[in-house]
Amino acid sequence: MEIDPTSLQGHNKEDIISVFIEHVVKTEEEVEEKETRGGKTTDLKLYLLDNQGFEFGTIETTVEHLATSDDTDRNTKNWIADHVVDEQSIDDDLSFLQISTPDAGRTDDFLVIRSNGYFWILTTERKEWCRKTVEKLIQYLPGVERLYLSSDDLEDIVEGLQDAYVSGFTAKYHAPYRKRDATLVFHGAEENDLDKAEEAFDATPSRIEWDQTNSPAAAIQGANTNDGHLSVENVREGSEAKAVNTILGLTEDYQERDRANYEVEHKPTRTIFDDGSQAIDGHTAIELTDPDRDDAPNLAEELQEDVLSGLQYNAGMWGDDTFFVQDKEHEEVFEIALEPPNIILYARENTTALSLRSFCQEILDEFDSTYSLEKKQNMLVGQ
Amino acid sequence: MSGEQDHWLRQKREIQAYNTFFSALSARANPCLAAHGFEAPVEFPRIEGAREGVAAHPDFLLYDGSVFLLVEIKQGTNIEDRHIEQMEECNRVGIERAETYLRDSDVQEKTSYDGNVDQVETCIVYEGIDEEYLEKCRNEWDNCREKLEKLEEQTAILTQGRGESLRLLTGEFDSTRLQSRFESGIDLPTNPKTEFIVTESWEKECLAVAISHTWGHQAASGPVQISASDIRSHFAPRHAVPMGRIKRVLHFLNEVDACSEVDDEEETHLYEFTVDHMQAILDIEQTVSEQSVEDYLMEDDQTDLDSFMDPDGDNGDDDDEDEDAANQ
Repeated sequence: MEIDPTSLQGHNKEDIISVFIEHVVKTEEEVEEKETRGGKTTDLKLYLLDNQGFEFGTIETTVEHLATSDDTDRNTKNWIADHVVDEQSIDDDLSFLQISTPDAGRTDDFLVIRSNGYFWILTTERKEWCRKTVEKLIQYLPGVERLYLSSDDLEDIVEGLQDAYVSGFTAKYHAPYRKRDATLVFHGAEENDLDKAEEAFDATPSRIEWDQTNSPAAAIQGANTNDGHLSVENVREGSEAKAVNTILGLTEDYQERDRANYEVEHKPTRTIFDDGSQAIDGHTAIELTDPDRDDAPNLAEELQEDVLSGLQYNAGMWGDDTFFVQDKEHEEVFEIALEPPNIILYARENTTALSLRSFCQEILDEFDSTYSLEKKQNMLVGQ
Repeated sequence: MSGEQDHWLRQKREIQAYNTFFSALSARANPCLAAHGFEAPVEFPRIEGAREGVAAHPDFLLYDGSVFLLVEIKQGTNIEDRHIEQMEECNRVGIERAETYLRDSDVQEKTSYDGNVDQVETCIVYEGIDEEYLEKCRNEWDNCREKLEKLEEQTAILTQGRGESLRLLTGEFDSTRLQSRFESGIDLPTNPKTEFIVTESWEKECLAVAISHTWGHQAASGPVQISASDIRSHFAPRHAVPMGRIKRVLHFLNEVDACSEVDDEEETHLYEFTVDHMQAILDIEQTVSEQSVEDYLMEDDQTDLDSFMDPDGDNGDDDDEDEDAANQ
């Protein structure tokens, strides 16, 4: 990374993103030379992370702790053994993260920003190295998870971009009762191609590429994925300010929708009074409804085999239509109530967005991509 | 499900009836009671009646800043004399007592209203009794009509079911708002949240599940230690669960690996729940549905010679050595 992180001390996130944008700016000539997207150009990448109790600036010490703790799994320990993680604090809300891979003789640089309770990781490193380094690290850090949007939300936020159009996408279809899984990858998509893919294949987007114009030519090219990652590949000279606004707007959209879907805002906190009576403060449920099938008589077995038998979970049944699930990774318990073909998640006392998001992601990515998601919540006592 | 024994099925239905009703307050119900201004400041309250020492023990208390609604939940297909008595007790709660109750500091914290009460209302909700039942009760069955009429005099009678509606069957509310709300009914979710694990008589199976849910689940994020007397004071005095029964159930949970007894010289019956117990904790409902706690322990005793020497002598069937039986 060619940016001197110490020069960013005390700057706000607009300034920091501006500095990164400078690295992807192209002149008119460069834009014309580069006819197709992709290829080996530097792009700006931004990972958006939810954070439930992870203390900012403690990545390095957390990694040291994970390296020696008995509770750390083998994959994590192996990764830590092969990498060196170094975090330098720049200011209260900014730190410089370096992940070295000695075997490959390289070091990848990242900036970690704290923003309204979320963590942002900014980088211009190459995609394949991000996958091997920072994406793994995020997985291993406790209390930190990438945001996750449903396909509907992903589409909505791209549609909400002013002066922008969809120029490509990756859309997937998979459902448990069909033999067919489909992944469609479109570059140079035209208007309505995504709608056609949805109509024809029931495929839902997991990544959308977009072009944003700035009177009149395409000025900014970027892409969003549903797992909290956005990238900007090209910014035409003169459109830097617009690009910064676009990125900041997108981060807000991601955060707002992720919070609306997964955050347990009305916790079912239980108060036991001296006389043994009690009060439950709130109620939070996530409904996964209306999949591409009308009935699912074996839903419990399917979930058990396809999702709950994974290493992340321990599950026990209550009757034949309810599971109590321990998410071992996030150290929480939540409840799954089946209303076939719908799946309802209930937050219990110690449930946070971490386990709820993770389970919904598992369902939409791996089990059945055709579910719609809606959180239902309310307070039961006075506020 | 197959293999589910009657001993547990009955308890489970009772547990589900509480949860079905409570779901009417949640955002999954349509329309949800909370959206109509009702709060649930207390569950399983104990409210002093007009006479000294006589209290009402409804299952739920709903309050909307004006109406103070006491709700009794029943499961099964019988109107019992005791139901009528319970509703009589609820009806003895006057406006003054209701306001005193709401202005208690603990309760006050759980309501956004000022504690003013204009009307005290009561209702009894049956899961299992419906319009057809009432018809037969009135016209066909001996002794049923008389009880029904007595109960109708006391209170509004509602019915509910999972995936059905919570609605007024017969009897009346004084409040026209309540009357029309429950006449039009509230659609309930098909599979409500398992919020409460409670039965009126706190059988050992129910207690085993309640302890697993309350303290066992917490072990997901770190070990939890709990003693028999902690558990007793958690539930008491509203739910007076006999100490002998708590110890017996802890012994059972220890035997099925849902927790382990901590060596302690003071014999406080201290147990620890950890992540290593989690599978047994999550499976507890299956375990008690397959075999009653006593049957399990009896079989276990026969194969385990060590337990022949029972140091606490609390292995009897009837272990309710405590003074106060369940006070409902």
